[in-house]
Amino acid sequence: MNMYIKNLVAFFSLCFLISCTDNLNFDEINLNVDPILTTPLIYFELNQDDFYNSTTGTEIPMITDTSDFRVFKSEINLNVDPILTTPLIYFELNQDDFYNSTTGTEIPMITDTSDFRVFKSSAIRNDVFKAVFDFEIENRFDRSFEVNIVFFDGNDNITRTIPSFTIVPQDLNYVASESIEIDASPIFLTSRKVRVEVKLNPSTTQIDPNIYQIIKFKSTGTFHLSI
Amino acid sequence: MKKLLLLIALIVTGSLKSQQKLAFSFGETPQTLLLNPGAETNFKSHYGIPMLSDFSFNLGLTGFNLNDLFSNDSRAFRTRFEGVLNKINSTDYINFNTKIDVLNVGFRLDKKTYLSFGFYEELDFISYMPKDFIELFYYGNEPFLNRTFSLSQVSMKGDFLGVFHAGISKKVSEKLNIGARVKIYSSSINIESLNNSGTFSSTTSNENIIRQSLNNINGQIRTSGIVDSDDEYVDSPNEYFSRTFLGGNLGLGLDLGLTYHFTSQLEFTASLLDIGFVKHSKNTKNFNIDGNYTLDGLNFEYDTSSLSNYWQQVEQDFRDRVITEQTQEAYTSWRPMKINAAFKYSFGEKRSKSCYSKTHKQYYYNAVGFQLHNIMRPIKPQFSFTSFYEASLSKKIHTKFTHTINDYSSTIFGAATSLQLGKLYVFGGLDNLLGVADVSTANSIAFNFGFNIVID
Repeated sequence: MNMYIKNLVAFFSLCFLISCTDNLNFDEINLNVDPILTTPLIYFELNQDDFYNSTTGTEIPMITDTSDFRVFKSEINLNVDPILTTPLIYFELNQDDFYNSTTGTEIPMITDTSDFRVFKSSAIRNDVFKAVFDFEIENRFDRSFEVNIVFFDGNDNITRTIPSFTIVPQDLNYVASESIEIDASPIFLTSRKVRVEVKLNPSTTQIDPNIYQIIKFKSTGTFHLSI
Repeated sequence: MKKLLLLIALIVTGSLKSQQKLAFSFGETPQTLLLNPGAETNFKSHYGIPMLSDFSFNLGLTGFNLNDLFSNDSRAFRTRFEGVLNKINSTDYINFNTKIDVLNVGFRLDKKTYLSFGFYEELDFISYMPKDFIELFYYGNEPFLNRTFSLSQVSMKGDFLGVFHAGISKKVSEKLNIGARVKIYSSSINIESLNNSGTFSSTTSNENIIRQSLNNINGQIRTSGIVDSDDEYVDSPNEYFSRTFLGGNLGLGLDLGLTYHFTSQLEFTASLLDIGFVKHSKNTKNFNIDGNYTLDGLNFEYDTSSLSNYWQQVEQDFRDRVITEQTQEAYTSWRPMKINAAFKYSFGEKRSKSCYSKTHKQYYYNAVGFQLHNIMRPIKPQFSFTSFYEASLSKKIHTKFTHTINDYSSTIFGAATSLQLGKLYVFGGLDNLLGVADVSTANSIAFNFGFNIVID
């Protein structure tokens, strides 16, 4: 008898397992939850005197009242506002970078350009609302010079010109900052290139390539996002 | 008596917070065998009611509670979120586990041997709080110059699987009962990101104003089951469920347990559960990142003889030094092993009850003891210490009262009960009596109940 029950239990258990693998139809699982919520809304009770202006002795034909309606207002309102800082352009120039050894003459201005792909990312482009560029310049030349930074779009149209910096001779701690509010200058988001010009100002002191003197340029970009 | 029974039944079926550890060493329920295959059984056979024989749900979090985020006060949600972010640390975690016992059957082979087998589905998820990267995402790197953000804080594991099991409980002597259970895991979904390392930092520099560095970055996310053989993401619940019935990635596991009576009153029980692994070889999709990189910016050279695209150089240099790849390599995932142990001292009125084969078992109406419960988790084990008092209100009603200290709290008071209604055994527990009044301030929400037909 015992063996009969055990065999029966084993048989039914096996059937159950097989039915799980073969016969269950999980395609039917389509659980749309459509709750219907009922909540009390506006109620009022009006007397005749609510429609009567006792001062003028006249009837008030219509009365109105308003209230906030906040059924769909969610309390969870989490704006993420990260501020990302990244190093940008840096360089170090010696006097010989401004000297043409072939002609023996001074080069008054040198220029270099690079792609600028920060705003190619839609994640940044869509969420940035402010960009701040910080510059630190060290001038060990006996000459003053000017730095011009210009941003361009993909068609070489100017999207932003940073006001020129003039750094006097031997200024070792020149600091500048440029802040761009995207709302005020949305075209800046189309920037795809950046050009940095370094222009020696005219002087009676000439560049001497044999003397090691440098200009150091450093910069960062800080991007304020609201996600 | 009827009122008492009704009250207990209401407690059992209405339990909203308890944990499976309450059922450990609570020997009057068949499901104890799932927590200790070496548990003693006093019945001839049992038949779990399909889908209801053992159901447990456990949601826990450390470091903060729901009230910290959603309290009904005038503070903006943002303020509360930042408060929580300030409170948590990288070893805090969110843990979710639920088990549904689909089938559970057992029967006595002979006087000393009890066999049980069945199938359950389990969903298990744990994620530690990668505080560094939450703050980096939320605030950005600008406020944290010279701070190091550690990738090792990213640690998570999620599993959805079916488990076929068969166990044996054997009485070796009057003092010792041992048991083992073999498990076949059928994993439907596995997602894990473990043993990550490396740091990100923005520091002051001599080259430029700041320098950004990825140091010894080594990270990985391993998945199986979320994509099909065509590398398309699976969105069919049918497929996810069907794979738990031996259609997924398979693994093997073992449970071991014992019960030892030092004297008729002093008992020791212990078990090791889920000593096992799953080999993921089908439908895998892994993401790896490995390398070092230092970014000082775009180094303009003003070399008219060779114009450079500095941005492109930086991008290429990054790609060369920091290798990111997607693979479909097979991998092995270890199950979170559990360790249970309990000492129990029984005392009070001594009774005997009829058991199988017309034998009688002697038992005491009261018992005290303590138990340890440990789950091996990615960063550190989850450890619980529980002291308990058991009381039998009658031959058919048994209760257990507990105090637990664990990661969630040091003041978790619980109660469990099992009652016999004819052949129907009902069990359940409530594990945070103090948290019932306000669930939002509790760090864990759990319940556990089961209905079984037991033949004495």
